[in-house]
Amino acid sequence: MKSLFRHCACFAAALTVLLASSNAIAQMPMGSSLAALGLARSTLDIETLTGTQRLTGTSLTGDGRLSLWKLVLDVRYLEGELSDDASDITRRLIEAEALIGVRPIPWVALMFGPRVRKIATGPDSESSVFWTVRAQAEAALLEPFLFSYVGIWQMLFGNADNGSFENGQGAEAGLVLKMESVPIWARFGYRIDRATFQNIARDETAQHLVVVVGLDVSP
Amino acid sequence: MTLTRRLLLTLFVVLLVTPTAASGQSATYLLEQGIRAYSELEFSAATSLLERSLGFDQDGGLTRTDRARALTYLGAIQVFRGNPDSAAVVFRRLVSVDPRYTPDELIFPPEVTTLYESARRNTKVVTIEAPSEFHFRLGQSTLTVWLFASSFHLVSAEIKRGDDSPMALLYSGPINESLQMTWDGRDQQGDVVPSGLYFLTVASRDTLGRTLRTVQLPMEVEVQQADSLPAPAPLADSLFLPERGESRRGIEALAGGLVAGTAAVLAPSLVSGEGVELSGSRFVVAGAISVATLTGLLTRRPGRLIRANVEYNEALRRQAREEQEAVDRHNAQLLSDVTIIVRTRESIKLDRRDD
Repeated sequence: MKSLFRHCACFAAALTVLLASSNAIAQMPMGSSLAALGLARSTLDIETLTGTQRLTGTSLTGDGRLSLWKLVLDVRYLEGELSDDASDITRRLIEAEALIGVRPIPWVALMFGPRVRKIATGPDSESSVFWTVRAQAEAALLEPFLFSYVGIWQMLFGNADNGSFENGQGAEAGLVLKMESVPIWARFGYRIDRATFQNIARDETAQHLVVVVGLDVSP
Repeated sequence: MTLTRRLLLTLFVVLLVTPTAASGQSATYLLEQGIRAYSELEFSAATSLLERSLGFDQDGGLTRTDRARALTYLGAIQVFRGNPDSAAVVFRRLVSVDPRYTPDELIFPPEVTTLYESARRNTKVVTIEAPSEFHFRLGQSTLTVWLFASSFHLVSAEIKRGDDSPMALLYSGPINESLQMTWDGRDQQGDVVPSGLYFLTVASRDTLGRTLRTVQLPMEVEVQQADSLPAPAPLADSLFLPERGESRRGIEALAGGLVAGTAAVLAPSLVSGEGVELSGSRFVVAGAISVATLTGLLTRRPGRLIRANVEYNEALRRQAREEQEAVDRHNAQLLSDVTIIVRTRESIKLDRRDD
């Protein structure tokens, strides 16, 4: 519980900084920004030669997006305590990514950037960094209130503490709800990604059911 | 009359008619001398003096009252000389100078006043009396003009432009002794006249409607008005949202929903490894996407009224209407603040006909 409060405080501080900068961006022509906090139901499957370990739990997550003309910057953070129902093992999962890209057309974004994952068990932790290229598209279902989105990404290269990165990919789909009368938006989505490490013959597959609610500081 | 007096009077008249002497004489002086000669029954000298007094131009000439006096004495002289026709001509001239003038019955005998009244009855003429300069606020006050008639007859009064085209009819009908007319600064269509030179034209008519005389009063009209606001530009079509569902949007919604829903269901199988049990939460997301897609299709199906867009467009039109009304109110307020200045000049008599 103490850890949860600490993380909430960190999220709040990060969100404040993000909103402060995003508000300035939103004042610019063609600029907009989104920032949100939420929860994720996370599942992490670690598959090794000895078998598969499934960890599940609830994570705290935060989204942020800055848009300026055709440029876009996406940041995401997720952290939560995941446990193995079978063995009472608890691990802390931390994921963060920062992608920068362009919107060649209004409903498509192409982005590139690092993604960091840390899995900690007590004082021990395993970290990996992946460089990801991502394509995301969105379509209006009930303009201007409800949109669907789809994203796919490929991990191009990376490195990890316990082995060399071989390949990885991911996908995401969901809904975005925008309120017209108030600057609030919400996202409900499902995300999955998998990374394979060759030396230790290890697969990590993370799945998240995400609900976030935030502010839309668009002009 | 003695020879000496005749010689002296003749000498006096000769002196008067020489240019050097005349330049030093005023019209009023000549009038007074003419009246003195009349009272001494020196009708020839009186006639000469009185006609000379009338011959002066505007500057230094007689006032209207004095002109009327001079003409009365001239007419009386013709009566005394036994020339009633000549007297009538003079009296008609007198009537046109001042229709309201009445000879003093203590000075002139009944033969004179009777003949004058006859001329006055038969001479149909009006004079116009208006302030030399008058300021009035449009809609709050009007220019008032008086007409004075020699006798009962028909008149028509209208305001004309400089090119003699009619602009506003003020009155058409009978006049007895006097008539008050007003002008509100507008033309026949109710529009405020532009600044410029106009003429108040009064025509005296006989019973058949023929014009006997016309009197024109030149009027310099100056309209003082603040600039009005331009009308707001009409709303461009691009500002309005479609009020009925377009097939394109429905297809877009369907495609977007299908892709997202399919991705939520199938992509995890493609991404994950063989030994991984996929979370059932992807079906929750896919279901939500499907419901949203169906809702989008139903609410945006072709031809269906999109209430939110209708309300948006109506609000847009209402805002435009309110802006237009605000401009109209502002301009109407400006219109009520118009000040009109009228400067009149000496009236001009035209189209004189023998009655």
